[in-house]
Amino acid sequence: MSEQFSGQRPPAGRGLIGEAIVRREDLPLITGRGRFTDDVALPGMLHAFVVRSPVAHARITGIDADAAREAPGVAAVFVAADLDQAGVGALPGAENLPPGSRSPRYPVLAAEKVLWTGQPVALVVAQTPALAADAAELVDVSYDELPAVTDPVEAAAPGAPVLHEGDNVALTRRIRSGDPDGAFAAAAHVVAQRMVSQRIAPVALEPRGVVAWTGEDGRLEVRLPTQRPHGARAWLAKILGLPAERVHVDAGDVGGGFGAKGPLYPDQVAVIAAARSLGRPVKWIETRSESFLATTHGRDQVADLELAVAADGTFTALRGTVHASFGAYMTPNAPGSLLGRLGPMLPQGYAIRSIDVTLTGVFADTPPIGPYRGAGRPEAAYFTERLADLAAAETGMDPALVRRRNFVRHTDFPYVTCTGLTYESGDYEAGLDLLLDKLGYDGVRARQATAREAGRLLGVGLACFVEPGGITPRAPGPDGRVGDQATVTVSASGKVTVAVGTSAHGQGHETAFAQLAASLLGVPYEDVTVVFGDSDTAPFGYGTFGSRSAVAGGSAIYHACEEVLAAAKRVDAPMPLAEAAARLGGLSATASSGAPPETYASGAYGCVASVDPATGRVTVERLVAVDDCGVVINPLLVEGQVHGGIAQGLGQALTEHMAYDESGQPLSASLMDYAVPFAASLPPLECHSVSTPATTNPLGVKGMGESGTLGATPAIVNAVLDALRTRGVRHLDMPLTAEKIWTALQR
Amino acid sequence: MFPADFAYARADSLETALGLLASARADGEEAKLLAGGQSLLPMMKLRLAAPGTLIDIGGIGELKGVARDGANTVIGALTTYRELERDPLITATFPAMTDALAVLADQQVRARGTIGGCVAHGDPASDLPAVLLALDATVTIAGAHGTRESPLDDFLTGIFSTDLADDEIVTAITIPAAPPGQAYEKFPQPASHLPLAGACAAIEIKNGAISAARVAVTGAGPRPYRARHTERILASAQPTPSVLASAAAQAGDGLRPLSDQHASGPYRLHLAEAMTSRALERAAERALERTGER
Repeated sequence: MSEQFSGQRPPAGRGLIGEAIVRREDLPLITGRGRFTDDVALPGMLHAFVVRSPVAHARITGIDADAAREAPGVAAVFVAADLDQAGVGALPGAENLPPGSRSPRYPVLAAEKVLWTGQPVALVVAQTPALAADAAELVDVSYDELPAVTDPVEAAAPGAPVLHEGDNVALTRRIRSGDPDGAFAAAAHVVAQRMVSQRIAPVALEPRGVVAWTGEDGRLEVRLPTQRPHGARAWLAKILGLPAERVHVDAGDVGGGFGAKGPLYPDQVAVIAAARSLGRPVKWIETRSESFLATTHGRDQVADLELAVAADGTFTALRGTVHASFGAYMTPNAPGSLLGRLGPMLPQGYAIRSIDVTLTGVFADTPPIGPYRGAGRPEAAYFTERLADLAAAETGMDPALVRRRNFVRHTDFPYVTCTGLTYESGDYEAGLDLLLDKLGYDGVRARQATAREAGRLLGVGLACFVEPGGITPRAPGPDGRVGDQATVTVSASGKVTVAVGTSAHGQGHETAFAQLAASLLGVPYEDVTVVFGDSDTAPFGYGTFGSRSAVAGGSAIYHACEEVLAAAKRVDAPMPLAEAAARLGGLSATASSGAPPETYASGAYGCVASVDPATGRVTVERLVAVDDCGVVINPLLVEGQVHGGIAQGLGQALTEHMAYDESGQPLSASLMDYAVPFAASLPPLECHSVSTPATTNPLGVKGMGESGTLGATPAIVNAVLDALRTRGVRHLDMPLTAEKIWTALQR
Repeated sequence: MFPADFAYARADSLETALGLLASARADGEEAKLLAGGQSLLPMMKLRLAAPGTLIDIGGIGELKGVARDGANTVIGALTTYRELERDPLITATFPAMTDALAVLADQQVRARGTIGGCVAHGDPASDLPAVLLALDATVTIAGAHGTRESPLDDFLTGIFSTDLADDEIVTAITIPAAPPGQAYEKFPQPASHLPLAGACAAIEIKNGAISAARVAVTGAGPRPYRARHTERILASAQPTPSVLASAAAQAGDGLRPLSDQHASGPYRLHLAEAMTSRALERAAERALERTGER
């Protein structure tokens, strides 16, 4: 699929595209009319509690659940052997693994070994959540404890405690092209730095959960807060040995996912298996503290990278290693975040022509890594943008100038990176120009000079990035068609229903896709209803993740609307669509997105931050974001995505860290210990945009749901380290806690 | 987040509450008093606490409210943080308490949490005890054999440990007349917003010299404490920046600081000094504003 759309404007129905329409989702959600998984209550429903490993690495020598089975209100206790007997298989392994990689069997309940603190070992089902929790305390599991390893570099080293078999290295891939050796030999400067993108937790407002029961028609009914209803259905069918049409998955309202509601989890599968076995509805809702042990984490990479820089500041080559933890087991997208995102995106928007980077994925005694807002993209942007600042310091050039010198020129698109990606369009200089203008860059630098003279620590940080989005498999899906589907139906009364295979969980698709369809069809916005998230009523799609829905879902809706409009022409005279639909007794068309190539959005972010020398505390004074996501369907939604991403990016930069002690016990497994940003931690956010439409999809849109995390994290870290530069601090690893900064200032 | 099974009894008077405590004790059963529930209930949900009986004293009207008793201010133990925040007598008399209430936990906690619960809980990282120590507060305690008074400094004994017997109830906090030169400064742990270190200074300035000074620190050590070395340096000195700074530098004297994943011992010690320095500066400023000596 390489259809090129040369126009700089979306080709049809511009009516509402670009309008800042207020989200139609908000009123029901903020007035308590949302229907989340925990709102589901069924007659005879039982409640589950998950018994989890209290240790990070151990052999299970025995499980005695007899006392728990006899406890008040208990319906059943399940251990691994019970699920084996019921024919329940293992969790899905990783997708698209390179040859020679390992993806060990990921059991629903641990049988022989536990590999992280929090791994599910047994499931107690009782009449109430409290009775299940009481009985869970009676499940007696004996552990023969083993040494644990939680750091990706240590896990890869010889002699480390081994989780599975042989060693902990799951895969390696070397990305090599151009002439890296020659470039480094000829470099005027080489900047090298070890950088850590620390393990962090997604912390969605709604925790995970599940309700499962057998429907009247005998089908398995699953209410699951998921980003991928069709994917979850396919996985479940395979694990349980059922035909997919015997499984119905409904996501309902989903309160945020950030990637972590993409995978299917062992606890959820255990609950579903319990409901089938008991023939009664079973519900399980994760507690907030439990989510820090049981929900996938993100990041957790250590990069040792070097950048070769010519005398004039040109970046000529990048080389080094990245060690990425997968946690105890592989989830479907974990290798893709490393191999498809982090590694190939290291050049960012710079015309670097040579690279030699080895990526190593390892197992460690920590919860499995899943996609988390950006999934490899923010890490690549962070590493490269730190190196860009170090290169500026090394060459004595201004950080804005060194970036500008290295940008892919706007005349060079489509541009193929040294890692083999094709950036379809962009204008990185325009983004940086607008940022510097809005930041009042020269004025801020002058303010910084004055502050430094007065002994105050003020810094300015820049970060420019490229964000791939819109990924769609090229192979046909289970329905035999390539891509996500959309069904557009115009009833005889003229009302329009758009059913789509992407699956929003807070993004505002009901609003954006209604705007899109109303514009394409030329009907009133109020007449369009958008549905998704239910495997019965939504056509097949891959769901919502990886900044893909505007590109994939939007393209599918575009093609379905085109087909509806073509079908409407069967009436004998030109007339409005609603009239044609009335005349024809209704119209409907289903179309596929196909597999449009990925889009490459970009951005330039700036941060002004001060540091209190007495305590090391950082204050983010300004955060200016310039985003280019091509054609904007709804600027309010884009800004909302940017705001959320910036907050999460700031969390990683300054406070968030899933830390473990030497035995693998988590040190920050509650919101009293794990510091997500508060509203008061953020300055008023200044958002701006430039637009270079995508040329690879009919709408000209580019994925942008993750951009805030790509830009904010390095912009903030660069600003803080800029503030500390005159005090001899070259680099600090995130999170930039007050103590870390204060300690550096004491040296 | 499901507490273990417990019995629940509601007391509508102090007498009933004391009776319930006494009978629980006689039965050898662990009973806990429920006031605002902002510390106890989370611990129960995490099963770090599993009392057999919860005696809900939240509805006892006689333990609520702020009153003047001569030069003293008497605060009922069940007065919530929000009621204190909005009380005109508190705002006018104890600016340091107002400082602390503005940065104490969040709106929801302030709406339910009580001053008596805070004191009885003995949390080493709680804001108000620093203020109450600097204001020389006394705790009134009711028991089966009558009522006793204990200076807060004697009442706090260690990490989550106080001089409160199983069958006693904190009924009131009494604060004597206080000088207007007061301030509270804290450095919050970024997740919980509890103080990694918080400091309260209450100083009186007469004729250009410090005539009285009390300084207390919370969050840094096993219990909130009076920084007596700092107080000694301030006594009778002139409130110059250098005097305040050198006094603040002694705020951690003799402290064995707590150390955990949120802050090392040396950093907590440093923060104790830094927060004391800021509290002293602001307290001195307020003292001078009030006396018009500036």
